[in-house]
Amino acid sequence: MQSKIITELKNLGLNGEFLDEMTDHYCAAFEAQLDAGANIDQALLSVCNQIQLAKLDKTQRQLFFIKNKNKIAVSMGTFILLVFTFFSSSNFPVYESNEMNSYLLEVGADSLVFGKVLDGSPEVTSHFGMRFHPILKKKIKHKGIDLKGIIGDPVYAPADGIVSEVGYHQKKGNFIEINHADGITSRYFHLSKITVKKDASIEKGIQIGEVGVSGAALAPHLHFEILKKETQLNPVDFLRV
Amino acid sequence: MHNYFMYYCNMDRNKEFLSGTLTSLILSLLDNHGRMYGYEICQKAKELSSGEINLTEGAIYPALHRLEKKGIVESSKEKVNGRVRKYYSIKKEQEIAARQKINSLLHFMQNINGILTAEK
Repeated sequence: MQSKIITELKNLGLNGEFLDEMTDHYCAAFEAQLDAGANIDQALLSVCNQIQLAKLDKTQRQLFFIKNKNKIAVSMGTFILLVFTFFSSSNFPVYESNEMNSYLLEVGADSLVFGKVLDGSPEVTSHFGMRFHPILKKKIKHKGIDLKGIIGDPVYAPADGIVSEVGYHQKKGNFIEINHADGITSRYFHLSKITVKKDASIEKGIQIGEVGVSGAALAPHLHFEILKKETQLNPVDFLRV
Repeated sequence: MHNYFMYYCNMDRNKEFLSGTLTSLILSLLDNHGRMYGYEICQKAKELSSGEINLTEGAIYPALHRLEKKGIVESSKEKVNGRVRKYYSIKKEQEIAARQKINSLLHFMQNINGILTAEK
């Protein structure tokens, strides 16, 4: 048995003192939710969502940068090497110190405006976060949301982007992955038909495929995911207009 | 007490064994350290068991709340680094009862140990 909060934080790459500090922080938040009358699952789900939205992995990298500032100043050579390493390993943006503060305050979803992915207002049959998986029969994190549909319903690109991957996967079924601006990636699983090709440049609103039940799915639906640089975000935040 | 856990529990089984002993484990830590908050208890348990006992938030907080409801422990809130920590301690008048509970578990564990390690 491993603590869900610690697992969640470790998955974001947190370690050492910062991991400890944040675990304490989110445990306190968890306890406060319980005190307020939430049950364990609700409290855990809410805390896990808070963790996802807080972009702690970035904060950790920035803290590392701030902590090592003095050492960096000692040797210009080390500085250049470190910057180079950051750039090549993780595309870490280098900020001037006065910009750093404003960047640290940036929390939550970005300004990239997303349009519709399905016609009408589709029902969300499974939300983002911890849930009981109907096929695997265990509790795992749902990395996106499931939108109810019928086979053949058109799926639209919610924003401009470039198709980075299309294909078939045992679990994902027929799937599409699109890269958008600001390092945002969206994914579409269980399609019955894919109507775009890899590397194609697509515009917001064009059809990219059709709803289906391919892969590990029990009923026709669209599994929709949004990532920002490897971090899963709640797609609902993007679809809200 | 922790040695018994280490020898006779594998990691997956810990949850099963902890269900009956968690309360005593918490009381023992509170008795030895005075005033502690939930995550601190988890850390201490992990440290004292060489990383073998991982108390999850889903186990520790409900257990603490039950103890508080039963009037065995009391809590006080404190603001630390922007979060509200809830510190727990054993109520003065419950200290003797708590120690008795810990001792009876220890006694029980010794008996279990005797049975499990008996020569054929």
